[in-house]
Amino acid sequence: MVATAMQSVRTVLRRPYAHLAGLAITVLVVQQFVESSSSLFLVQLMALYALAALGLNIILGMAGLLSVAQAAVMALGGYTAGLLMIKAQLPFVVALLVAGAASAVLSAFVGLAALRISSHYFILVTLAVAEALSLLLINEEDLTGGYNGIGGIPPLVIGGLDLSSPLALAVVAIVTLFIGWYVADALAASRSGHGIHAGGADPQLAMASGINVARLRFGASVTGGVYAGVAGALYAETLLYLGPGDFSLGKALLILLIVVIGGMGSNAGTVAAAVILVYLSEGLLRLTTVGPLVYGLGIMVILVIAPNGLDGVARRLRRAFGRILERRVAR
Amino acid sequence: MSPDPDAAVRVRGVRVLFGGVAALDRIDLDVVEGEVFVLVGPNGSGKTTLLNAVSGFVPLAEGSVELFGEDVTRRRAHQRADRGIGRTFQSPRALQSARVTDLLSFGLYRHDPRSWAGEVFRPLRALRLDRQVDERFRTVLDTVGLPDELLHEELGSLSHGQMKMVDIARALLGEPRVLLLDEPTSGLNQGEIDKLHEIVQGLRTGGCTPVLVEHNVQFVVDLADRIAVLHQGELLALGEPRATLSRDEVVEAYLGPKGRLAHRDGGHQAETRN
Ligand SMILES: Nc1ncnc2c1ncn2[C@@H]1O[C@H](COP(=O)(O)OP(=O)(O)O)[C@@H](O)[C@H]1O
Ligand SMILES: [Mg+2]
Repeated sequence: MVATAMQSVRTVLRRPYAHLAGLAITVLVVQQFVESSSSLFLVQLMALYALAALGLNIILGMAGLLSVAQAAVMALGGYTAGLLMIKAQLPFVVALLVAGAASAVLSAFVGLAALRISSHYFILVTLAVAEALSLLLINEEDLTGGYNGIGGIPPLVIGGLDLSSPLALAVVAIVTLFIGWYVADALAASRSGHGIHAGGADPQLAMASGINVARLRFGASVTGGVYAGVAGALYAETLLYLGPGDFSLGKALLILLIVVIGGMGSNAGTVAAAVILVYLSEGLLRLTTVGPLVYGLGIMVILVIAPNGLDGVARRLRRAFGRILERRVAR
Repeated sequence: MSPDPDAAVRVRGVRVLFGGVAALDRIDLDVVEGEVFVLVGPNGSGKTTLLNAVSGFVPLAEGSVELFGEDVTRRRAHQRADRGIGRTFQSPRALQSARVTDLLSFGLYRHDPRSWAGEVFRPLRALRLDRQVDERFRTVLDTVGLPDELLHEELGSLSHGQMKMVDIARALLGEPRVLLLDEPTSGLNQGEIDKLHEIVQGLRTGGCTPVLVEHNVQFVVDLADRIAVLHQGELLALGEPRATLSRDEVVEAYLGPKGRLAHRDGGHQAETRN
């Protein structure tokens, strides 16, 4: 009885209804209640970091590859889109597609390492790639402006529509996030998604089931890279200026923390954690001197009480709720 | 050995080395399609290593492995699975936060109808496919004697026996032509062991050839068509179960030279019981 009720709840909460409803509600709430441009800026950042983190969730949460290169991949997307718009006057949509492709290639390159070496060394490879890209951004001054970065990125226009206001930018970021979320949920529910998950959870068991673990790891890296590239391109439109500092190792760790706190493999958890952590890192950290300390301790506490992140907490609550319901029904 | 056109698995001159020490040496054997083939031998005799050699989890120093007449010696584990080799592992895998449905989805991989593009662009069809897959999972859980309420449980909350049965269900979903089971009865209660007996016999009628590594002689004797005995990495004996198990060199390998007398009584008991 409870099981069938849960089943129908699950059906209604399913793709695409859940995502459409979530998108509508989020846009409405933002449009009604978020007014100041600084708050709208925060919303943009939340959506874009959530998008990049959804990509890392495919690479780390599902495929089990611990990467700190996701901010670098995002940087490549941002710089690619920005430079194409500035130097080649390409429209945003074209720049976005190229940025997505460029980031996919970089992420694929990183993913190739995962096919050859053990997971302990993989993180070092990703660290090296992140460092190399950041040096490239700083040293190729003629192209990237070095420490000064690139300015004068043309404001967002799509199909002749001016979307450069803070609210429009926030809505574009939110819509993109929900599309990415939907596609990531579809992946998780699909054959490929289960294969990626299997390869991350237990490679031997996966291979015994006929899963080509190497190929799927590679595919996960490419896919996760596209997410970061798209997030980077929109990030360029949010700031209209990009510098190497926007994609420091600190940003890589923020994206990593979002995935871990969200609960490995959980898309909903990742989005929720992105909202919370971006809020904390932009608000708490900037406003107070003890902020960073509180933030660090808070994260430690969360990881100790909830090793499976927000997703684990949600599961526990659901189970407890289910048990209460069952007792009610039994009576 | 003469070539056997029906060999589901053919192992020839197989040698596996671990740090220069041979865990398997000069192993020749054929598993005939449709028989129940059982591997026995003392701990550390190389049974698991032989399953690994057949399923592609350990490199061979020498020798070859054929599946249904095709040489797969150079094929990787997932490619051998594609050619019909399924297997379970000796100790169930500790995928703590994954759910039973996840593990079963891993097993369904080769026949999973849920493509990524389909899940993105045809969500309503995906809903139907989900129901089909769900139905299939319930059926396979029923086959291994588990209630379908377990479907959404986390693996960490299952008992050892349930976990092993779920892993067999996982392997069955790949529809293997040969299923390698590594000590399937260890840690199972009597009810589960009886169920397993039924499953193995069902496999045979369903066109799948079971190959078991098994310690439980009682379980094996009336189930196996042929038994192979491994001892220190070598094939000690191979043949009809009762005769093979009572051969002197087999008894010696298990019990040492002095065990022989004691065995005579045990063997007698086994005879009278049947
Ligand atoms: N990965 C490995 N590395 C080194 N030695 C191994 C490995 N796997 C098995 N061995 C050794 O090979 C021998 C056979 O092991 P195994 O096949 O697991 O035996 P069984 O399954 O019959 O108990 C044992 O001596 C064991 O210690
Ligand atoms: Mg063993």
